[in-house]
Amino acid sequence: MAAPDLTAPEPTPLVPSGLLGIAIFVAAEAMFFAGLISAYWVLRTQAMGWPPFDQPRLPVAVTGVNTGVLFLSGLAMHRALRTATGRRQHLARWLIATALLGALFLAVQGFEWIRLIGFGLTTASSLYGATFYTLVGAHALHVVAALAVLLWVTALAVRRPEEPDATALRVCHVYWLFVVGVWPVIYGLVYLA
Amino acid sequence: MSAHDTSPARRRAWVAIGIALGVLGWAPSALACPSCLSGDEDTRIAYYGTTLLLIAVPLLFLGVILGWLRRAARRAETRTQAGERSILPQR
Repeated sequence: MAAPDLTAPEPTPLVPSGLLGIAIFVAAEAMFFAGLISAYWVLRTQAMGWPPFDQPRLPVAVTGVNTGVLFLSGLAMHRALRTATGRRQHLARWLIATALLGALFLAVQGFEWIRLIGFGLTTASSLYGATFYTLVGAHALHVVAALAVLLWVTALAVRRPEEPDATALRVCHVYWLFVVGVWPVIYGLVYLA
Repeated sequence: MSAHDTSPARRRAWVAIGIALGVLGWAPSALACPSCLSGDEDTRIAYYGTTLLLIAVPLLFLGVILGWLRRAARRAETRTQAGERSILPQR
């Protein structure tokens, strides 16, 4: 048997494993949200009245503005990725801006939830409340997870501004854009439709 | 085991099949999806819409991921060819 050629260069992967992994993960997450949205849609059409007359109305305007905040965070994230290939000293700044906007979105959502619970909309109050908190809560949990990943990538960028981890940054970018992209669908279905 | 075998095991199997068929015939039919038989227009639209959504999302993502890998493969091939050309003797 011939000995392996140890001097041959290692084959480079077609795409980084991290990126392929996040693509598959996002596909699975999209199916998760598609399932939740489907359940919400069918349950809603079968209800006698939606929202039920004894349940509070959702804060459409405030959440609309909050949707804009999340959009801005997506733009900041996109800008961060572009900065990584150019003026790297601004990378951390854009990542921090993304994180702050994401945290602001979560804070406003949390504040509105506290008000809704005060008005009597809970997971046990009606099917309306249960589906609302399941769908919007699942999204909020995803924003929390994305924020945790973003803070880790930001810490890396602050520690080594000249050598940012390109794969980690792109993974974070894909996940953040997914979280931003799925929200308008949920907002349109739950708050506007 | 022949076709005319009347062993206790075979008899027990026939009794079990008979009971199962009897239970199936006695049980009322169950509808798996309440949306399917609803006469309400909105519910039917929701049923068809969610069916299409749940079919389209995985296909869409599969297409996007395969398209992305194909593009990456083409780019790598172009890069390899360019590298090979650069080491050819210049005329």
